[in-house]
Amino acid sequence: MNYVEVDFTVKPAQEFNEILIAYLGAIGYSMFEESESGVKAYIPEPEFDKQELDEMPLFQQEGTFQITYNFSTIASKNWNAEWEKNFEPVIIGKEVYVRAEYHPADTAFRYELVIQPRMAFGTGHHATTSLMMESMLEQPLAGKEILDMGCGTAILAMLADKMGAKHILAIDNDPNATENAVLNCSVNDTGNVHVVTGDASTPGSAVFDVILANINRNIILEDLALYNANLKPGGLLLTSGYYLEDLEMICLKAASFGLELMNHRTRDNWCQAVFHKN
Amino acid sequence: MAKEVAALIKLQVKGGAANPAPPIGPALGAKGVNIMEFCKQFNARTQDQAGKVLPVIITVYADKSFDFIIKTPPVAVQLLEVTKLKSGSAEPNRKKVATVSWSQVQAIAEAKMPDLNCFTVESAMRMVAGTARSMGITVEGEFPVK
Repeated sequence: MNYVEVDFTVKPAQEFNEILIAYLGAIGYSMFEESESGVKAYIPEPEFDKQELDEMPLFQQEGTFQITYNFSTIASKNWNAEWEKNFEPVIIGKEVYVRAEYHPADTAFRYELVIQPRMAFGTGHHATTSLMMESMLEQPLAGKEILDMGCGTAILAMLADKMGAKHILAIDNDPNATENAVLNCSVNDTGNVHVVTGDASTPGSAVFDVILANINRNIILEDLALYNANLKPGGLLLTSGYYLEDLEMICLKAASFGLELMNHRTRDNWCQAVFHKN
Repeated sequence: MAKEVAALIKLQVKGGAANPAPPIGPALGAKGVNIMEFCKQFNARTQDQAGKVLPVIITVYADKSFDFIIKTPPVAVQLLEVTKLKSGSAEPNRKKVATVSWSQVQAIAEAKMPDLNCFTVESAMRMVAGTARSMGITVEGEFPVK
């Protein structure tokens, strides 16, 4: 997605930068960079509203200080290309080998996944991804219906496919991620993965044997009711993307839906937990 | 031995909202850092402050690893939150848009103390009150004498 960079010159900058940032935060800007002369603020291009900006009270003020701005569009590009061009392959649970296209194949592993992340999350390097994959390897996924929420590169969905899952619905709300997921599924020939741009409401009334959700604490808490509704009795919900200290909060909410904590594992304080629907 | 620092990057990002777009993308990407890893960590660590603007200082090391510290929200952000305002006054000296109490000012000052160049809570409170005035927010009552 393209972004708009709004470059504000503020005099005196020291005093008014933080007020400007606070006001911009209230009208949808979420990332800022301060400089000696002012502030650069960033917003997705479709959300940029020049009129709203000009109507901010700071622009109506007279005398106290001066504020001017220029804006320009920053075209979407793969900012992560530098890291992606030489990342190390990852081995997970002795069975899975995740590599880039430029790494040689290794047939010693039961499952091999080739990932070109292109700024999507999920290469196996992060503890949450590897914990999810280790947990998946313990489950009999053959013939199962799987939902992968927040699929990123589709690394988890593709592993489920390689493990014999019957059908995997992989959903992400970021079109950049789903575009990448489709590419990776094609490269890995994982024909049972169906990638869709959407959110937790997208599956509708469909039900699954296993739901995978490596996202973050707040989204998991918010969407637990929907996960529960989309899970068959006896089904499993595999979660990650949060720290160990957040597990209790998730367990309490899960228990309110009758989802029982089966097990959890941690690495670098990141947590992965499996819930069972009775 | 301490790791060699390659860059120090100062940004302000809403809690839970880091993504690989500008300014995070270009700033970290150019250093060869895995941007997705930073976003995942930042968002996980700021789930309790989702939607609040948070200053973050990222240290990038020569081996492309990184760590970062998250500071408390800027005083102006905290004042908007306390007053439930979207923005301040167009004429802060004449037209007041909200009021705060000295105890609210004190709470913000105490929360922000670690990041301010103030030796006492009282001086931090005066700084917070100054920002409030610049936004058209009245601080009610007399400065509490300790």
